[in-house]
Amino acid sequence: MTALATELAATMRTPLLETRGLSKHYALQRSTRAWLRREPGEVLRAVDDVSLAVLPGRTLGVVGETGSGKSTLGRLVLRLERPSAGQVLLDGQDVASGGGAMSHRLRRDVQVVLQDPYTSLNPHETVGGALAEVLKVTGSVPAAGRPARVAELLDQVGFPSGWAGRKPGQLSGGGRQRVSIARALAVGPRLLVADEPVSALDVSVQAQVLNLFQRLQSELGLAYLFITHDLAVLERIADDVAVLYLGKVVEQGPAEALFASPAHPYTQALLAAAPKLGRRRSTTSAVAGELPNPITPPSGCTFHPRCPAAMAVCREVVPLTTTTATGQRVACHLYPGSTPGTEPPVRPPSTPASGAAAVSHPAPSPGGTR
Amino acid sequence: MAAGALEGSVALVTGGANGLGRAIVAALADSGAKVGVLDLAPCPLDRPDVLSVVGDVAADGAVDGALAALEERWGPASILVNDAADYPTAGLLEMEPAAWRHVFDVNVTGLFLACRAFVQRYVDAGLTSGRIVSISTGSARSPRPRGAAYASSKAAVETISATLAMELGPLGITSNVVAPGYIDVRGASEANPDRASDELRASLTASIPTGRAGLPADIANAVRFLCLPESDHVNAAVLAVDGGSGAGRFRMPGELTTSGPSAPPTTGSSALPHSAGDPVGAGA
Repeated sequence: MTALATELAATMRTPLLETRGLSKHYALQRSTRAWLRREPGEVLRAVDDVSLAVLPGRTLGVVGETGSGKSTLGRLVLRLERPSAGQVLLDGQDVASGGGAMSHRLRRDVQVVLQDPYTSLNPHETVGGALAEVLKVTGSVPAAGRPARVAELLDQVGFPSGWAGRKPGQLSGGGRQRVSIARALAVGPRLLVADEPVSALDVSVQAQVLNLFQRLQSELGLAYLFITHDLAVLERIADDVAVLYLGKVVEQGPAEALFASPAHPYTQALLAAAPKLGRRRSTTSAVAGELPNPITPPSGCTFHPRCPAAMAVCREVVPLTTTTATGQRVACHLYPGSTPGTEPPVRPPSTPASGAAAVSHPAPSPGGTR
Repeated sequence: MAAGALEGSVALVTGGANGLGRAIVAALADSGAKVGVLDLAPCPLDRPDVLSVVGDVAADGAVDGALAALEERWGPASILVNDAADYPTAGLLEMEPAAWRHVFDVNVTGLFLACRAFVQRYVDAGLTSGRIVSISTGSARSPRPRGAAYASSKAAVETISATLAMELGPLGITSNVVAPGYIDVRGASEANPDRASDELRASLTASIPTGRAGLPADIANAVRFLCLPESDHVNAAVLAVDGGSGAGRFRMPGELTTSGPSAPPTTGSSALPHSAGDPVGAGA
């Protein structure tokens, strides 16, 4: 097969991980008076009807500001939180209805790398000890084989094997993040959920760690759910991108198309403000205005108070998701099909006065014997 | 055809328990393929390289279940033969709407479901070469009275096959059709015994330039060819296996059925104006 065909086949595979209508709503505590009056409580919709797919061996980037729900999404995928609605599917199977065997598979197949390598590693334990402990606890490698596996893991993340005796305090931020990655790899996962894995690192170190993620993907066939606030990082590493705003996906699609022609005004604003790797990050806010209070989100399209292209309809009507000419799925009234009830009406079958003359049929050929 | 030419291949044949399907299963297995059979009836071929799965091709998940069982035993399937079909003979007012719908549920939607499950597993397994062969009928282009449901459903099969040939060609999967003419399936099918009268059989045979009825093995050999690595560049083809009966009017109405092809037209007892269709059809 050609490279194009290989790419086509890769996008047709059953998603390794899929979310369907995934939501997490937190009911906020009501005052006693409100409770006595049976007033409805306030609800925080941290993640609202999110449908995404991570394909085997590929990277889905999820980008959003603080408060967009991107970390909650990661926690839902890892089953650290129960969804209020919707499903998480592993290899097309609902993880909630899979029982203990499915939970076991989920823990083996999906591992996490967190943002802060300073707090996610035990400062008193050596790197080798931390890795050996994972192998012991998960029972994946018998005691005799553990030192070799630890050496292999350290090698995979680019450490000399002699560093097994080092403690986190003797490592740089990038070095600690490599340990976090090695620890996630220990059980042989197929998907890493990486929540802001390079945000705490210097820009030059970021590039090294992103290189490591890319190398591990090609060597081990790993898939990544890469959660970040930084579109520049995703431009570097993602195959597909989903943009979250106040818990909803406002745009998603192939990374190439999304970066070349961002459809949603929010994506456009994020992209305009995103620094290129190797450049100093802009200190100004990416998008004009602040993220609204998610408990009382704006009416209609929740982005309308900050949107430079806002129209009257945006204040009133929640946009539907539609597909752009370049292949992104976008929820924005600027695109035809996004505003409910305004699609071009289905034309009734034409009934001209002359009846059947509207369509010309070839005359039946005479003389056929069949 | 070399025995072992399909060594290492895994195939699924829908409707492979009886008739043409059973012959296809035997031909593929004789060439070295491991063959799964999805049929309403268990496949009577008792051999270690054939796995029989009982199920309805039109039911959700049935084909995928069969493919899963096959994959567990022998690995992912790279060959799918769509042979399962329903073929009632009924005129417009005789045909119950439910019976009509069932024809399309099995022959068209069942084929769609089978192709869908097959291709998803093919892609997931990372295979780079595959085959879809669908059984159609000469009557798709040359229908006979009381055969509207079957013939039109098989016309749909040919259109779907051509579409898939384009969609799946880039993935290394070819999609072709074998269109049988009149096939004598006496003794080959318990589910649908050949009930053609001797008179009908004789008149059908008289419309075939090669002078004989087709046999299930004729169809199976054509299907096997389309599954071989050598047929790699044959895609979106409709291969008629009918002894030439679909080529044109080998006999004009009114010709004696007993006269040879070189005999001058004579008047006398006439054959029915028959078509190249296969009143006994294929599959289960």
